Amino acid sequence: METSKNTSAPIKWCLASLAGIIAGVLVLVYLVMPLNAERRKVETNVTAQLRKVDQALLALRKLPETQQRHADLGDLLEGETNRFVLRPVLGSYPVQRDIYRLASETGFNVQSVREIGKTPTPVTTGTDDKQAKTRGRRGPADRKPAQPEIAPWFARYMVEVTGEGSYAVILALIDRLEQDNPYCGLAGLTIRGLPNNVEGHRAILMLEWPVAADPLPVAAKGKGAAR
Amino acid sequence: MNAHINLLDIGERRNPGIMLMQKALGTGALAVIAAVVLYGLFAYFLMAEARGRLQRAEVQWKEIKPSYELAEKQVTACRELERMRVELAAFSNAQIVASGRLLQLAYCVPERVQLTEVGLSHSLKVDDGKPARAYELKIAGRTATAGSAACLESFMQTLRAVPREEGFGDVKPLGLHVDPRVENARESLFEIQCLLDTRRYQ
Repeated sequence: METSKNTSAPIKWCLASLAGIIAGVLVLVYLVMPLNAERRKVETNVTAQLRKVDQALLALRKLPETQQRHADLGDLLEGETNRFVLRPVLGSYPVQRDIYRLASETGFNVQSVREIGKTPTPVTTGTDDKQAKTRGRRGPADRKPAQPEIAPWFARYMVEVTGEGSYAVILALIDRLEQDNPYCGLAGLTIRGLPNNVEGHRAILMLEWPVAADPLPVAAKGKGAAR
Repeated sequence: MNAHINLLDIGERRNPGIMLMQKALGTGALAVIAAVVLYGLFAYFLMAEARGRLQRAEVQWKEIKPSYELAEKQVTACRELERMRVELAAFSNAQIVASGRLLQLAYCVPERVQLTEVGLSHSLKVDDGKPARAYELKIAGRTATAGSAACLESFMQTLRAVPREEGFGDVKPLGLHVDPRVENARESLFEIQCLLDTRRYQ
C-alpha cells in the first residue's frame, strides 16, 4: 500500500512529461510549421517584388535610350509616311495627278485610270495551314478556311492604269513610278502587242501604294498584336 | 553472518524502473519543448525579417512605380512604332522591282524572238512559315518554226542566267506550237512561265 503511494507521484511526472512532449509536437505541427509555410510564401513574394523592382529599375535606366529610340523612330516614320504614304486630299487620294504627270513625262498615253480603292493588306493566305499541318496528312478539303490576317497599319491603295506606249515607254513609266515612291509597286501587269503597230503596246498596270489602314476591330487588332 | 540494514523508511521507497522512466521522459520533454521553442523563435524571427524585406521592397516599388509606368508607356509606344516601321518595310519587301526585270527581259530577248504578251501576277502563299507573295511572269511570243525549240531553250537559258536580284527564278516552258494563222507553218508560238522568288512580308 505504501509502495503504490510512493509510485503515483513519479507516474504523474511521467504523464506530465508525455503531455509536454505531445504539446511540443502539436505546437510544432500547428504553429511553427504553418509559420514556416507562411514564411516561404512571403519569401516568394519578396523575390517576385524584388524582381519587379529590378526590372523597373532596369527600365528606368534604359528610359533615356528608349526616349531617344522613340524620337528617332517617330522622325523616321513621320518622314517616310509624309512622303510616301498616300493621304486623302478633299476625300480622295491624289494618285491620278502623279500618274498623269509621270505618264506625260515618259510619253505614255494613258487611256484610263481606275481607282479600285483601299484594300486591306492580307499577310496570310487565309487558309489555316498550321492547323492542317498539326492534323497530319489530310486532303485540302480538310483545311478550314480561316480569316486572313490583316496588316494593322497600312492598307494598299490599288489603281488600274490602262494605256499605250512602246515597251521602252512602259518601262520608263514603271521605273519613274518606282523611283518617285519606293513603296509604290506593281501588283500586276499585262503588256500586249497592238495589231497594226509594231512598236506600240497596250499595257494594263495594277499599281499599289500604301495608305493608312482603317482601324481594326478590337479582337482583330489583338490578334495582329499577338503576331 | 551479514547484517542487512535498510535505512529507508517504507514511505521513502521508490520503484527504480519508474524513476528511470520519469527521468527519461522528463529530460525528453524538456528537450522537445526547448527545441520547439528555439525553432519557433527562429522561424518567427525569419518570418519577421522576411516581412520586413517585403515591406521595404513594397515601399521601394511604390516610390518607383509612377516613373516605371511612364517608362513602360514609352516602351509600349516605341514597340508600336517599331511594328509600324516593320510593317511599312514589309509592304515594300513584298514587292518586286518590276522595271529592273522588264529591262532584263528586254536584254534577254533574242533577235529571232518577238514577244507578244508579258503578264505579271502574284498570289499569296506561306514561305517557310512566313506570309509571302509569289510572283509569276508569263511571257508569250513567236519565233520562226525552224529551230524554234533551240531558240526557245536559248532564250530560257538567258533568262535563267540573269543575277538573282533581278532574275526570273524558275523558268519553265508552257508550250511551243506552230501558229496556225501563218502559212506554211513558218512561225511558232511559245509561252514561258517564270516563277520568281517569293517575297516575304517581313
